[in-house]
Amino acid sequence: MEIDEDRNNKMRAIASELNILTRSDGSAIITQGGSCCIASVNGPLEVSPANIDMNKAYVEVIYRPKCGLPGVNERYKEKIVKSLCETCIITQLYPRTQITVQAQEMDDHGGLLACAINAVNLAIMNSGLEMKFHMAAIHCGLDSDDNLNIDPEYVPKANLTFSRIQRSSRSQNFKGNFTFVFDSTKKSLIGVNTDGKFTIQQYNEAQKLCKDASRKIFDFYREMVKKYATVL
Amino acid sequence: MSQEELYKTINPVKYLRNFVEKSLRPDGRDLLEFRPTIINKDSIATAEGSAIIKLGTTTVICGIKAELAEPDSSEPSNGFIVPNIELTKLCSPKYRAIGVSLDSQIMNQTLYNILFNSGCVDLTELCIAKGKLVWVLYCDLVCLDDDGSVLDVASLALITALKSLKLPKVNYDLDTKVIKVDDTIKKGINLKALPVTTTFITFEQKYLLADPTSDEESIADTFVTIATCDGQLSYIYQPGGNSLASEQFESLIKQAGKREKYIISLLENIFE
Repeated sequence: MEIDEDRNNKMRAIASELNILTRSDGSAIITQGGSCCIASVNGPLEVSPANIDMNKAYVEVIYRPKCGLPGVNERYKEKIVKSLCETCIITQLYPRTQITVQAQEMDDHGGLLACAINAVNLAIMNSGLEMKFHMAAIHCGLDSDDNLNIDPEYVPKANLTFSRIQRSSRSQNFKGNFTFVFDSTKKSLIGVNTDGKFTIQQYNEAQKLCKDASRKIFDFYREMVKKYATVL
Repeated sequence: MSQEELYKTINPVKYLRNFVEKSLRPDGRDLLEFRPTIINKDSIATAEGSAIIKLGTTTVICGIKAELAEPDSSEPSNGFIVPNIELTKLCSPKYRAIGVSLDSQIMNQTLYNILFNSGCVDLTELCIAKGKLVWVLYCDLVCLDDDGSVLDVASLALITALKSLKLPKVNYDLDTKVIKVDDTIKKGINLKALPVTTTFITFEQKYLLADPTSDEESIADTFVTIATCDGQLSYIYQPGGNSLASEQFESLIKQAGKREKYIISLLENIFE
């Protein structure tokens, strides 16, 4: 398998801003190349009796697409973000409450799920909820020549017809897509979502590349804290 | 209630720990052993394709209804496959709403991803007249009993039902737009790959358990779902939870590969 060194180690430029929404407890906008996502976190809030948990907070995640109504694919993404939030927030500290996380897609130029997870992480950080660790999500694409591309950018074609067809979340340019999520303490893998078909070697290689790249995201988080926590 | 049941109710985690420390499971299995799998095809006579799968007591039934429709204008030669699973209170008290619940929506998307990532079905095979008429396969799945690993059972039910699918021959006259269905000639569709889904959980971070029951699922640290086909991976999903060491992951992939071979041999047997 050929690995293109130049392309591999280059991630798209990341930019972010915290506190962009005035009414949320924590909010963040992040752009990774052309992909952009806003996240807002509110909590601990009052929880409805149906969702109450005596031992920990109930986490609700809402994922909104750029246009149209959320469908099953969005529900699927919500599930992933929700379990990740439950892992990284110390929910046991907020029993009988609810934490609401909303991610709003702004623009999709590839790797949007990773972008949304990173935005949610920044928003949680901004909200002051206690966290076990930070999480960094990296997207990696496997192209038709079996090359792995870290955090690739793709420009979506204009699709004017609204379609009823259920689709998988695949970026059209790649035969395989990986989204890996790492934690900040042990740098270990806490979440994976893939699509497309690939071999075990390709998977392991992609994981290794993404693990290396996750450091850049963590460094970026550190800079964000330095920039915003001026009191410290 | 017996002493053992009482112990299990009071401290389910310690109960399971006592077993897995001795490399056993409460139902007598080894840690990486699967429950007996029962596959039954053509179970519903009125459906074009159907299957019932049992894995231990987890039961999913799948029926495929084929209808004719006009294709989407952006993909004029593609048919449709619509998997839809019902997870109601019938199968487990953990599902809240009747009808379209959140859990079933998520599982529908997961089934869809598993099916299409592996390139199992070529949607152009469902085309009758380009831009005019295609097949829509409504794959309705009902979970009758959820005792863990529903996704594995559901995806197997879907694949088996697709494999048993028999579609009648349809003649479409482009000029008169008359549709003629010939029920005497029935043909199956060609499945290019058969993805097999396997779910694992980790318990107390160090123990790996294959094919968890619903009791085991409720106290798991993390889930990993792996779909394999033809020795390749077509889907890996781990939604948060504790991390896995890479050796642990390797052993899971190996187990998933073994499981795939076993299931494929079962399928080959019944479709002879």
